[in-house]
Amino acid sequence: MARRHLLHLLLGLGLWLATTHPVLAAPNFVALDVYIDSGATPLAAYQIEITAGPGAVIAGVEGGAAGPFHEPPYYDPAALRGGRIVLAAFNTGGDLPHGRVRVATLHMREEGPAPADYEPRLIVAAGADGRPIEAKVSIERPKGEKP
Amino acid sequence: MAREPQERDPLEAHLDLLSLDAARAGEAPDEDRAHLERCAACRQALAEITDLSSALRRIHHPPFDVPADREARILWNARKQAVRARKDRSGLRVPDVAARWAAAAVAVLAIASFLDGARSTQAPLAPRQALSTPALPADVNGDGRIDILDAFALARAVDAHRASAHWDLNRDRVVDRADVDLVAASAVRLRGA
Repeated sequence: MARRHLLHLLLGLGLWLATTHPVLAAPNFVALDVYIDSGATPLAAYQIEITAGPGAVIAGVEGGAAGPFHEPPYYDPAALRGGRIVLAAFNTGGDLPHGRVRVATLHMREEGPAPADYEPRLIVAAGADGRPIEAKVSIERPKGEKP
Repeated sequence: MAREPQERDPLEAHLDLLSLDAARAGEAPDEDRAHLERCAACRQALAEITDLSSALRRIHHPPFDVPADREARILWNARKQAVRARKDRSGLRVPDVAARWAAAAVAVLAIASFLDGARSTQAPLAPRQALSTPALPADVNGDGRIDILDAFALARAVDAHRASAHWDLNRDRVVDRADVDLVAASAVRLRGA
């Protein structure tokens, strides 16, 4: 009887470690969509910084929605496998987007049972004339991604 | 009877490293695959890259595995961006010093009368006064910091063929998108990491 209780206790402990321990828990890859909302002003250039919380590292960077910001943005390759990255891009063309625009997608590797936190910060955004404009940056997990 | 592969035309260019890597990954276009059938040198180069890749995979163990579909997307985007940067070569050629002085000596009177009679409204984008001795060489717009707006300003000047030779940052005697990329790379570089 005591041996059975001990076995149950050990099994429960093992299950708990497998799901919560950062080394034993299976990593989760997520794709984060990065948006910039410039309101009514066409967006020609942007630079943002994204800092990930504990347990999350950057695995890759992808471009945004079809259009002027479809190509991958500039970033420092040293940011890969780290938790902080600066993204920037511009377009000298005439057909610039305005409103809420997906400018990039970040591929993240998260460890642990809970989703990691992310802090985006807008460094600068500019219109077609190169002058800074007001804008907001946000991050979203695409629908269908595991939470 | 098997067809003998056609001999490579001596004037046909060999595949560069980017194309060979694409062939190694099974992503080469038809024309590159046809070239490989004709060119023994490129087949040998491909074999060497493949062996090197295998050797690196054996000795390097990444801390985590990236899913194959995500890795393929990231590599595809990286290759596309590299090809675009390689093909984008629009820019203003900077004549060397001797050629510049020779042209000025021959045409000095004609240019002086032309400029006096027709002042252009599209002056070259010269660095601001504060940048004549720039503390930040990549600070194109002279606002005291380096960010993507500097790269944007230089790109607009390059596209309009108005970029000053001062912005030949990579010293290749051409002010083009390669210099723009240098400014952008400086803007996004992690500092204090």
